Amino acid sequence: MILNGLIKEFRIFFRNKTVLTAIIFILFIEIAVIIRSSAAVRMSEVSAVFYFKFFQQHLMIMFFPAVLANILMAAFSVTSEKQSSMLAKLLPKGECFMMRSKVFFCSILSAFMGISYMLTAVWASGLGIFPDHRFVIFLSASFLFMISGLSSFTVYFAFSRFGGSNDYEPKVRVMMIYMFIVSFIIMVFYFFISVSLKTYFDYVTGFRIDYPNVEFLLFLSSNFLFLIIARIMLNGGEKKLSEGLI
Amino acid sequence: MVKIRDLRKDFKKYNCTVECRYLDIETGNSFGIYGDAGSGKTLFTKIITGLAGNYSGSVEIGGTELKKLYRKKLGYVPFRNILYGNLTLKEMSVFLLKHYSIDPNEYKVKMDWFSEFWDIKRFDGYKISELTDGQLQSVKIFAGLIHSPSVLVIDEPFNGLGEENAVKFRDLFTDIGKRDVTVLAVSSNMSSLELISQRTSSISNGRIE
Repeated sequence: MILNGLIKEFRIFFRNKTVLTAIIFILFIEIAVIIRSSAAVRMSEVSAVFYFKFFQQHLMIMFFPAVLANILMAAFSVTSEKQSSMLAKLLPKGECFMMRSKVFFCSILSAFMGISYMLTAVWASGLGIFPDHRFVIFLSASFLFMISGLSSFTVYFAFSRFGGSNDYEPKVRVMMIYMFIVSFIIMVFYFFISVSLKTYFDYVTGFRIDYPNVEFLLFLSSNFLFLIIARIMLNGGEKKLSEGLI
Repeated sequence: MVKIRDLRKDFKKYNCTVECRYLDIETGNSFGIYGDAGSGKTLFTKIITGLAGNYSGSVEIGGTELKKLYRKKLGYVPFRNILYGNLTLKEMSVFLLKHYSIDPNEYKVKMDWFSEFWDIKRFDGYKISELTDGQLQSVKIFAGLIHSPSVLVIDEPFNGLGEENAVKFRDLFTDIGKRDVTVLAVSSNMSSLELISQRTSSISNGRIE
């Protein structure tokens, strides 16, 4: 059933010319950044600090495509539901299906756009010396928690705040509130990842002997907590939608 | 069989109270409700299809109270389009069949059967948003029947189709009646409704007479 929902979401999402243009534009920017970064790293013969800065920047940049995928989902995919929200109320478990298929699709799109960028950027720029297995696992898990949480929050917010009676057409003020909340989430996230990366750099360059497990766990836990909160909100949204309250 | 007793629901947003004290529709029969614009026809269909809950009284379909009824048993053709405009007719139909856990290959069988009444095969690859009003209405009816519901509720059946389709409607309702599908149609067009329904009633200020 989820695959059925994902196919539907894919068709609805990518048949919107604005969305398709935006995605292609983002991919072009990603390619340009990778090429530029790759050239800059190879041209210079400098210290590990310089290389690590590039590595850190790629990790930070990775989250922008994910956030943009969420914004596109909120602005275009949920809006394209319009009258079809009534269809969801007529199908068996339709409300749950509609919201979750959007969350899954948004998470997959965010992961695809973010992770593919990060992997290509790190290895194309010859920065593969930095991540070890433990770091890759920690970062992947954190990223998956983060994007799943963000996608759940986006879909919850869109369905509960855009207004079904208004065919889910977001008002400028509501969209601004959404952008503000997402910016805040990303800022908190950046704070935690900066702390983790600083300690990881110390470890990689030999300034620190013990592996930064505590910092990593703190970061991972904060993302997991965010995911749990977002899922609780999403479940509440599903319930309200099925009861016709939103 | 559809059985309604002492039904009452306030729609404060529309300043309308829908009431129906007694209504029985036998299995396989088609029943029409006539009413002017704003009389509460659409609101009544929303109660019957479970879209508007918190009503008083009872609505039973096949002996099961509406609130406990599995949605698969209901088919609804609302006045406005609820199908995804960006999907083609085939994609939309396959999506619905898969959601109802019906073999997607059933699509061809359903399409062949429905095309005996309205030839919608030629719109197969068309996006829903590209269809004209008349084409869209026939596609909406097809979508409402695709999962073989027990009860089909149609709001304004002639929407975009014109009264010349009354014979096709009558044939369709007779055919699905043989398959034990009960039809409830509401319209503001009394004469057409009488042509396609076995029994009719009227609604005024939300009250079904």
